[in-house]
Amino acid sequence: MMEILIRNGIVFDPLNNIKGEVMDIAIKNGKIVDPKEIDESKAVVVDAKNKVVMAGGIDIHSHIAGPKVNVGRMIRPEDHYLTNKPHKLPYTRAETGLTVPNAYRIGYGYARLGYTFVVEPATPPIKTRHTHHELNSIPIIDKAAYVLVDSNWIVLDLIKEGKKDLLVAYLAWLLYATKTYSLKLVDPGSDVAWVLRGRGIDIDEEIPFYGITPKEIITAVAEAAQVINIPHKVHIHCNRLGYPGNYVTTLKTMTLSESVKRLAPGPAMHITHVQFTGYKGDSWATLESGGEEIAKELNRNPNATLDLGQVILGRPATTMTADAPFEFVLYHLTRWKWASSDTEIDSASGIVPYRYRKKSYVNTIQWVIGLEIALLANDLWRVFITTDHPNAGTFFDYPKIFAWLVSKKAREDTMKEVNQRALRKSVLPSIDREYSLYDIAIVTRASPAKLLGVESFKGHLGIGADADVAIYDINPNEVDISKNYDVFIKAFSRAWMVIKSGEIVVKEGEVVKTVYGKTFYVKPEIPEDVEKNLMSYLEPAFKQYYTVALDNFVIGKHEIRNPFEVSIKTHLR
Amino acid sequence: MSYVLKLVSTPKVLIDARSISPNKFAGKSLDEIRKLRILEGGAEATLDTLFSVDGPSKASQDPNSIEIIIENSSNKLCFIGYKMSGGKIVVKGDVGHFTGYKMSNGSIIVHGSARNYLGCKMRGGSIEVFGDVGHRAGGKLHGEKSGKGMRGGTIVIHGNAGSYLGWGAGGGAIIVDGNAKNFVGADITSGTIVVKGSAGIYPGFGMSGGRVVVGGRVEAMSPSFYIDSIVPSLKVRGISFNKPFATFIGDVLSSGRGVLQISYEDNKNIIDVYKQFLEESI
Repeated sequence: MMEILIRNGIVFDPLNNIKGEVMDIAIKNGKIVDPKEIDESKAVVVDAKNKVVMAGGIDIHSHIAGPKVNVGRMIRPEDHYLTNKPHKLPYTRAETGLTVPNAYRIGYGYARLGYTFVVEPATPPIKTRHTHHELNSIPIIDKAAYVLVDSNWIVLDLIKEGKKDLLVAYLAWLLYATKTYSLKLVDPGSDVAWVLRGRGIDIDEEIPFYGITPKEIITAVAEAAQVINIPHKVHIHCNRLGYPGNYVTTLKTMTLSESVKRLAPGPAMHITHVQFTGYKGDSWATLESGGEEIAKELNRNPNATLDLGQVILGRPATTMTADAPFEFVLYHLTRWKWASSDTEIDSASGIVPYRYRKKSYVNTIQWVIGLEIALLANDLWRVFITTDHPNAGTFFDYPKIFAWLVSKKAREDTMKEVNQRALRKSVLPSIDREYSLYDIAIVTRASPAKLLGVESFKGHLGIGADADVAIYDINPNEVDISKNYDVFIKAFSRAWMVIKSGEIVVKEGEVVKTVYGKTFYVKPEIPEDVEKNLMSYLEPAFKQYYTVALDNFVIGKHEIRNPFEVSIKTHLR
Repeated sequence: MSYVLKLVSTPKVLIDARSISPNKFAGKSLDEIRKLRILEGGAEATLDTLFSVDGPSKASQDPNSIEIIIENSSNKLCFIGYKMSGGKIVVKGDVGHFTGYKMSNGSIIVHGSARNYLGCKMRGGSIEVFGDVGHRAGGKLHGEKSGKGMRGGTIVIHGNAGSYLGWGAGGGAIIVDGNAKNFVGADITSGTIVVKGSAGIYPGFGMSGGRVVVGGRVEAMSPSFYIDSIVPSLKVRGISFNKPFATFIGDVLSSGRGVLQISYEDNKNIIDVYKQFLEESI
């Protein structure tokens, strides 16, 4: 392993409270060590003078793998035309695609941005084997996945029958069996309601056939997550996503986090891509931003976290979600093409290509919501920057979002081009707040690491942390990023150097070495008698519901390229 | 000011030659032109590895005054005239796929045959091919909406054309002297497509506007058109046909109001079925 010494970089490391100090970072055996331990004559010395040094970025929500991404690739051939970049061995494989790129472009693209850990946020249990095969072929970055449990018939049955202990045991077993990291709820109950009634439901309404409400599902799963004690508790895509007036549902869901019976400190639930669930108004014509209310609720309620799902205007996107009912609605709005796919007993998904237009009233409101929430939030440790790639925009455009956050001028320049009627109805033009580089380091490095429970070795540059480092060619002491945001976007679009696990993988925005990152998953400890009890329930249930045998359902450790097991002490008895 | 590019060796793999365009040449010295980047298969190369390049030592800034002559050409050369906005390209030989992709002005003349996607998504200018062309001339790309194909300009083909001629076109004109294969003018929303010879099955399939004219025999008609009238003679884009044509409106599958005109005498067996509807309506 190489020894690397990064000299005189301007370091931003919120977890260790370092705000732009000039210091040296030393790397040995893939870990960050004290600079004294390094033999300078043997080490590779990197002169990072006048450059920003941060830990590798962490993206907690980006659809990078799984069956729906593949369906997206299939229905969007025009997304891949003329975007090809031939392979350049020995470093890079061929890259293709824009909103639904191939596995290689995803890995290289994230590495070029300085991101080193990305989470795929929705994988149906039955299709998770495929998700892992795709994750295995994504180069450079570390990966993890959240498993979908909202429409799983076994979960719904257990909640309906009130077997809480069995539910906890099943979810713990499911996390390990599918080798995933956390639990994901997508519009709970809506798939069933849509099939039977043709429309989605609010969290207080009863799910037909099961007779329970989405509220009960959210509470039951959130409480189960407390008992299993997984680091990232539960990832929620709210009900009525994409309908005008849905911010009320989001607020109700956020308040639910207070009533969850808690066994561990920290946030109890995470509300994801909140932009799509922050609409005020009765119809598309009277749509307004609910960003202010959501930000207020976030500031009041310390138990919830959220990520933005920020819209990028004027760029193509592909909406893909396990919320098939919403995609059905979106198809009727766009009238182009639509793919819907269903899995046995687990979930469904829909894919619709979309383009957010600058002059569109609705799209401008969508653009405003994400920024309002990010700028009105007091506690940056509970806000995360995502575009819900590729739903609201691609991850390649993250630097644009950073620019809108750090620079009021960037926002004003974009505001000149967007729909003015929509702007008049929002508070965004009156917000003066600007993020600093330290704040950007919080929302992209430190707080995601904390949310995923990996803050001991990821997301910071302290001694003992994994050597995932991103260096950007910008000097914040000379360049005023709030005025010269173009320079800032340029620097953050192509990292000057990225180090992954102690190897230099990107130099001046070009990939120079291909390594393969780890796949993170949790292993909750399940007591033997609980497991026996669970199996006696699961075996007949599997025979009844699935076409797959129980033994074949479990994903083996050998099927994962670089497994990284996070053992967890549960509160199961 | 004309540049002569002569292929020195016969290529064995497809070549991405999108730098052969007056826009790329404009303002460059001869040495810079020789060093323009091309892709040979997946490998990067420069123009002078495949071509001998001759011409003035400095190209003018205006692409309109630049003429490029490709001699000894091969059907492996793709993307010639990529996004060109002026000037002239003369090819003495065949060309490969995507010739004139997204071109907005200027002209391309091919004294040979062209392969698929000739004039794909072009916005203006003209292309003339003296040989045959492959499929989807003047077309859109797979997965795109109707109307995203050729939007303007003209394509004149003196030989035969392949399937999906003018697929998803949203304007412009295509004139074929020879025959065309299946689905002439499929999914077009606007524009004119004239085939002087015969056509394969289902001309105008899925069209929602525009005009398709077939002067010869049609293999099969889509049942989703209704007949409007029979005209004694026809004149379209300066081409006169002194024979009767049947005019159809469609395609009702895409709630279209496009005009499909096929020669009456060559397709009596097809049109006679419709003729009873015509007499009834009169």
